[in-house]
Amino acid sequence: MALLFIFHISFSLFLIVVPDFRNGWLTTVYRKYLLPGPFFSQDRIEQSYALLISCKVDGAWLPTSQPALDNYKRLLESGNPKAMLTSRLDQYFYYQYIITRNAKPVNPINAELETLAQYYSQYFPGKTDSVKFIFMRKETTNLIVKVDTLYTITRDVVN
Amino acid sequence: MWLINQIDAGIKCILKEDSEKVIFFKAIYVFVLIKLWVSWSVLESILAFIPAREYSLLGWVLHLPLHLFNYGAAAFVIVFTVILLTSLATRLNYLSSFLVFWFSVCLSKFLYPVLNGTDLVLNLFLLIGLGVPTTPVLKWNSLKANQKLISAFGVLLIKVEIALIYFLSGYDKLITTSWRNGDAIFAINNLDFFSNPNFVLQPGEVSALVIAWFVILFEISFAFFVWFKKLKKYWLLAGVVFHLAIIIFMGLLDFGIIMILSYLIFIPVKHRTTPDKSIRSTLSQ
Repeated sequence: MALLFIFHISFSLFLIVVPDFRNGWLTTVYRKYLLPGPFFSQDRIEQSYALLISCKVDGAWLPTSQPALDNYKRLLESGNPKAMLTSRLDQYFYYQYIITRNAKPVNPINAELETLAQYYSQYFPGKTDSVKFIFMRKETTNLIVKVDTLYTITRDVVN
Repeated sequence: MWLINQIDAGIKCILKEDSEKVIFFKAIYVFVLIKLWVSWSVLESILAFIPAREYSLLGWVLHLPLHLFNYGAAAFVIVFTVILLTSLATRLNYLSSFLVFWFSVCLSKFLYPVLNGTDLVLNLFLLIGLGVPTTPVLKWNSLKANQKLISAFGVLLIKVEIALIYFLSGYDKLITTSWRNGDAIFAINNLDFFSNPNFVLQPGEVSALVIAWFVILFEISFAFFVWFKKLKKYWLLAGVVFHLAIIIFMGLLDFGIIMILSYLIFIPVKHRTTPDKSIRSTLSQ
């Protein structure tokens, strides 16, 4: 019993103090399932992405909205946990597009964009004939915030 | 050998402390139940927009409960709800612990687009929880003698895991420059999805540095001081405040709740009319 315990704690502490150590399935299992974390690692807090949408209704472009952020704000205002999960799902779809586009920049119109457009159609007002997807990146390093527009994609909406 | 014997004695001493394990697991089950119901609409969206995964034969068996989604998200939600309600209404037992763990892992697998650290922590507790029940009492003499010991060991393992989670989190921050100089607090404050616009805080360099070091020191010290009877309550209280602040200022509702619930395992059982002699006799062997 003591040996098992000593091994578990020692190995866990070893993996904590040597974060780059990776050697086979045991370390993978430990890092993935037995040592959850670390949370708020540097890369996650210094860079984030956003998707803004603008819809064209009756020939005029409406102001941009950010459904994922709107749902996050709805969580904070109402405490409704459904809004939290919806916000995460909103983010998932545009992160999937950004990941794929980064991997294959020559192919901007891909299956991920189709899925994104289908999913986000729930946020389009009625009579929308076109939609603009604006992908943004926000970087915070050394107390400086930098916001860049990554890509803007305009698509027709089939009603 | 002397050291191992001393550690063995120390572990046995800790194992003799009985925790509110029943309340802990029932609270975890309630959390899973709420999570399940809250995620219902998201499950529908995932079904509609994300193609179903294909599994190997082993994966097909391991994820058997996911086949309920072939009949709609409602089928999975209803079956899992029945399992959870039954588990809440009955004593902790091996069957319900296994079913809750199995369905919870499958739910997390299905909810991977919205997955975060909460699910990993939750499923880790449920995994260790497979060995915690002491009912039904096993009939084989060799197993029966160690049944309560394994249960107590499971409870200790959950406590160790919580301590390790904090230590890992604190140590990672300690070796990160942006946390040591306070920049991380500024960065988090500028993350759209981790800052509550209802509480606009613009920490200066000094206050960001103080907050960052408070977080680092709290997380690392928690891993140690939670083992001392006299100090434990102060660190648990600080932990509750810490996670409530994370919920309020960052909107990390599920993670904050699961971590606060995990503290229940550190609460000792208050009154026992009959002391649990079986575990003590097993440990003294």
